[in-house]
Amino acid sequence: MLMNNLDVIVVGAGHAGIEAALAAVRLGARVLLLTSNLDHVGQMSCNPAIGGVGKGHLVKEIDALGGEMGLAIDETGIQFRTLNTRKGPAVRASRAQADKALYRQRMKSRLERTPGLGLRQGMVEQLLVAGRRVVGVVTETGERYEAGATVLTTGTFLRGLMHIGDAQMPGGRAGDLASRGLSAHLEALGLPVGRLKTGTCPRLDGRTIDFSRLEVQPGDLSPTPFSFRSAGLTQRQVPCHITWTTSQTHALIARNLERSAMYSGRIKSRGPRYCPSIEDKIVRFPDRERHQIFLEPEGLETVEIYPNGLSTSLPVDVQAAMVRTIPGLEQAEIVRPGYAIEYDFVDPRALHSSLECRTLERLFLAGQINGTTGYEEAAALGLMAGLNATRAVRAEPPVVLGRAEAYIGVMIDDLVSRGVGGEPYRMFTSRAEHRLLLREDNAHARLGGLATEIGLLDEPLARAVEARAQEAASLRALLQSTLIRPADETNQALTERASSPIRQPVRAIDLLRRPEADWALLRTLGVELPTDVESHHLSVLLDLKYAGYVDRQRVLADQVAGLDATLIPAWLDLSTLPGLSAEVRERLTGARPSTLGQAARAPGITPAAVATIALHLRRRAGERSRGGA
Amino acid sequence: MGAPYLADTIAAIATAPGAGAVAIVRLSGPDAFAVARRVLRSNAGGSLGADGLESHRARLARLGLSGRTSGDGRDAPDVVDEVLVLPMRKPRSYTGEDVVEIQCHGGGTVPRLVLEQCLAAGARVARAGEFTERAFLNGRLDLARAEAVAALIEARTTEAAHAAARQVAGELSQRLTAWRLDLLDARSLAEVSLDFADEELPLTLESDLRDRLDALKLAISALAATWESGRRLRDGATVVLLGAPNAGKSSLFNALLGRPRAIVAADPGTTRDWIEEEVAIAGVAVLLRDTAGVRTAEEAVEQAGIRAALELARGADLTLLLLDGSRAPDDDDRRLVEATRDLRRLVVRTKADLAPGWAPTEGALPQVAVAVSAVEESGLAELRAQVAGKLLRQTDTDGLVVLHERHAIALARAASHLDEAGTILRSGHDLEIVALEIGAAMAALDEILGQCDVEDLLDRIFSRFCVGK
Repeated sequence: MLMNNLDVIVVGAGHAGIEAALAAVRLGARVLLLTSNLDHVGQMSCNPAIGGVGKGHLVKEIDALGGEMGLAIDETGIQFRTLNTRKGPAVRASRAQADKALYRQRMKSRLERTPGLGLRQGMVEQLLVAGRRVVGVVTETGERYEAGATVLTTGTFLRGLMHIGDAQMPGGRAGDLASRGLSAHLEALGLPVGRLKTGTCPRLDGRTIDFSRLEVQPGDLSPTPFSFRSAGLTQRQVPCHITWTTSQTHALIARNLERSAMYSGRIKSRGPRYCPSIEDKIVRFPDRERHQIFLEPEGLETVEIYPNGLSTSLPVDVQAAMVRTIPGLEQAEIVRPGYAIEYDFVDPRALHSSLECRTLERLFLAGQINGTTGYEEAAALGLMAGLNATRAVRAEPPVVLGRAEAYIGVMIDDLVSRGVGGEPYRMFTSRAEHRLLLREDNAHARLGGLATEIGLLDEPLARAVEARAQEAASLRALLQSTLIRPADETNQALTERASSPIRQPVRAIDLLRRPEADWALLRTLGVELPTDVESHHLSVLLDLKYAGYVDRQRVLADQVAGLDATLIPAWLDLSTLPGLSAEVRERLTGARPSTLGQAARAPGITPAAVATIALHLRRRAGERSRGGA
Repeated sequence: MGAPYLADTIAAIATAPGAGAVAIVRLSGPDAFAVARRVLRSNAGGSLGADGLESHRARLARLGLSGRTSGDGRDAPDVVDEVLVLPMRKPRSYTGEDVVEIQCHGGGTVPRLVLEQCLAAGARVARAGEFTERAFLNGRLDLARAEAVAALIEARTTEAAHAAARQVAGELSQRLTAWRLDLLDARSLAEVSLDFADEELPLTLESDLRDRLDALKLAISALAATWESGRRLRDGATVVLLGAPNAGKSSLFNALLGRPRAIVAADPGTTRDWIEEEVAIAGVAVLLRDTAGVRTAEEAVEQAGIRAALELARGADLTLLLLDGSRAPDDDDRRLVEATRDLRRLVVRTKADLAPGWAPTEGALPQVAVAVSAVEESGLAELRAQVAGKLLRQTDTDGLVVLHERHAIALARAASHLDEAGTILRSGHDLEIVALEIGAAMAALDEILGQCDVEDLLDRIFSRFCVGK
C-alpha cells in the first residue's frame, strides 16, 4: 500500500488503535497504523483477561458495532465465565482469560491481512498542523505522513516512567520505549496534558507454584462466546486458582512500606481506587485479615502466571519475599517484577463527544490518552474515534451514542463532560443511569441498526443481525398467540417447577413472565420453540420478565433526552452568566457542556445553576425570535 | 432589546393590599440602590448623597408622590410621604441581590404611588413570585425552602407559621439531604456487589443493607404521613356539628366560638341551613359548621337539610356527632351513628348539666369521647383537645410536618420504592433491581429539593407565589 492519499492515520496499535484502524477501514478509508513496536500489537500490558462487569458490556457493544475485540477473545480465550448470573439481568457480564501471545498474533495477522490498511513501525514525535487543523504526523526518524484525520492512541507511552522501589526507568511499559517528544508537542499545541498513575503485578513461574493446595476456579461448563459472529470457542479451556495473602504478607509489606515507590513520595499522582496496589490495600484496610489473589494463566504455551490482586511497586527483593508468604507460592519465583507507571494523558474535557479535539480539528484521541484504563474502554473509544475520524474526513456529522443507548455513550459523555478527576476512568455498570436498558444480551438489538446504517457491518453480517431481530419479533408473536390450557399434565409440570397451576387458558407470554418460568418450562408444556432460543433470544425473555422496570427506565431516559436535546449555543457565555456563583461559573467553564443534560451532570453543578441556564436560554431564545438584540 | 435576565431591577408592593397602616415597597436588582436614590430625598429635602444608604441600617427619608421634580432636583411642592428605608447590599438579602425596602403609609393609594415612582426611576414591576425565584436562582433557597416561603405567607395561625418557618430555615431540606446521603450509602452497598463480582465482600452486607432500607422507609413514610396534619395546619380544617334536632349543636357552636352566632331555640329544627365560622383550635384554623337538626322527618324542608348535613359531614375533616345526654337515644340517633360509622368522628354527649337520660355504656352506641355542657361551659377544653388530636396526628418526625402535597406524594413514592427494594432483597432476588428501587427513591427526594424536571417544576412552583415574596 502506498503511503499517500491517506484518509486516517492511527498512532498506536494497542486495543484502541486496532479498533480505530479497523473501523476506519470498514467504512472504506485508507488507513495507516503506526506502532513503536510491531511485535507488541494488541499487547495486554496488565492482566490476561477481557471482559468483566461493565467491561463485558463494552465488548458486546464493540461487537455490535462491527469491532474486533469479541471475535479475537473468542478465538484466543482459555477460560470463559459469566459473572453475576443471579444478581440481575443487566449486570450479568462475560469475562474470559486470554492466551496473551495468541491474542497478539491473532490481532497482528488480522491487521496484516486487511486490505486498505498499512501497518508500519515508527515512533510519532510530532503532528503536522496547518492552522487549526492536524494534517499528518512526523516520526522520530523524520518520516512524514499526511492524512485527512489523525487518531492518537498512545496508551501509557507518553513520558511513561516506571517505578520499582526506588528505581525509575523511562518506558511505555516493561520492554517498550517511552514516547518523549509527543506529549510536550501536544502541550505546546495547547492541549491540557496531565499525569496519571497505574500499576501491574509481578509475573510468576507456574512451575514453582503448588496448585494442588489451592482452590480451583473453573470456567463455565457451557461457555458462551462474546461475539455474534463466533461459531464457537476453539481453545483448550484451563482453570484459574485462588489463594489469599497472610498476616506475614501484611507484616512484610508494612515493614517495607517506605521502599514502595507509591509510598516513598516519588509518585505524586493518585492510583486508581478500584485497582489498588497490595500496599494500598494493606494501608487502607488494616483490619482485613487477608486479601484474595487469583492466579491466572498468561497462556497455554507459557508457564507465566498473573497473580491478580498483587499489583505493587515495592523493590524486587521485597516482591520476592512477599510472594513467598502466600499459601501455594512458598517456592514461587518471580519472572518479571511488578511496577507502577506514570504517564501523560490529555484532559478529555478538551474533546468533543466525537472524540475530536475542540481546539485542533481532525485530531481524535482514544484509549488511555483520554484518561481511561482497561483494554475494553480503550477499544470502545478507539472504534468511535476511527469511525468519527473517517466521517470527519467525509464531512459527515459525527456519531454520538446516547447514555440510554450504550455504555460507550455513557463513558464518552462522562469523559467529555466530567473529566476523570485524578484517577483513570474505568467502566462500571453503576455509571449508567439506565442500566436495565444496557444489557449484554441486547447489544445487537440496541446498536445493530445504527451499525448497519453507518456502514460498520458488511453485507452478510448486516443481514444476519437483521434476521436475528426478525426471529425475535416472530418469537414474541408466537408467545403472544400461544394459549396454554389447563390440563392435568400441564398443571403437574407447573407444580413440579414450583409454579402455581392454572385454571384458565394462559398465554405463553404471560406464563413466561413468572419468575420461575423459562424456555424449558414452555417446551415441557408443549410450546414448540425454535431450538436456538436459549443461546440467541435471552433478550426476549429478559425484556418480558423485567418489562415493568424496563418501561420505567425508558420513561426516565426519555425525560433526560429532553435535557440532552437542549443545546447550549455558543453565543451563551457561561463564564459571565448572571445568577451563577463564581464556583459554578468556573466549573462550567472547565466542563464546557454543549447540552443542558451535560451541564446537569457536570460535577458540582447545582440544580439551581441548571435552572438558571435553562431560564436564560428560554428568555434569550424568546428575545431572538422576537427579532430583538 | 431588554436587559439580560437578572440584570434588571424589579419592584413590587410586598405587603398585602388593603387598609394597613404601613406598606412595604421592595426593590431588588443591580440598580436597587440607584433607583432608591432617585426617588428618595433627605428629610431636609436634598438628595441622599453617595453614602446616604448604608447597608442593613434603617433610615428615614422623604418621597414625593406626584413624581414632579423641579429642575434643580428639589421636590416640587406636592404630596410627600415620610418613609423608613432599609437598604441591604448583596449577597446579604432575601434575593441575594441588592435590595432596598421602603416602608411607606399603607392603604390603597400611597403604596401604589411609591411603586410608580420606583418604576419611573428605572425599575420594572416584578412578576408573581419573582423575588423568590431570584432567591432560588441566586442559590439563596432550594426548592423546598422556596415553597415554604409561600406556606409561611399563607399561614393563618401561629403554629402553621412556625411549621413553615422551620422549613424556610431549611429543616426539611436538611433532613432530605441527610436521607439522600443515607440512600446513596445504601445504594453503594448494593452496587459494590454488582460491579465487583469476584471481590470478597463482608457477609453482613445484605443484612446491613436491609436494616438501612427498613429504617429509611419508616422515617420517610412517617414524614409523608404528616401531610394530613400539615394540610390542616396550612389550609385549616372543616369540622361539622351533626346531631338530632335540639341535641345542642348551636349551643355548642356558640360555646366553641365564644360568642353567639347561631340562633338557639328550644323548638326543634330552628337551624334549617348550615352556618359556619372560623375558630382556631390548637393552632388549626377550624371552619366550624353547624348543620340543620337532622331528623327523619316528614317535612320536605327538613329532609333536604338532613341530606345536606350528611353530605357536609362526608366532606369534612371531622364530624362531631352530638347525642342529647338528657334523654335516651332514639332511632334517629342510632341512624346517625350508623350513617357516620366510616367517617372521622367524635361522639359528644351534650347537656352534661342535666340529669343523664342514658348510661354511657348503653349497648349499640359508640364510645362517648367527651361530655360537654354549653350552659356550664364544661368539657369544652377536653373537646378542643380531642378535636386537635383527631386533626393533627402525633408524629415521630421531631415535629417536622409536610406542608405541600407535592412533597407528600414524593415522600410516599420514595417510601414505596424502598418497600419494594426491601421485599426484593428479602426474596433473595436481583440485587440489581434493589439498586434500581433505591435510585428511584433518591430521585423522588431529589424532586422535592428541585433536582430534576427543573423546567416544569419552576413554572409550576413560581407561578404560585404572590408578589412580594
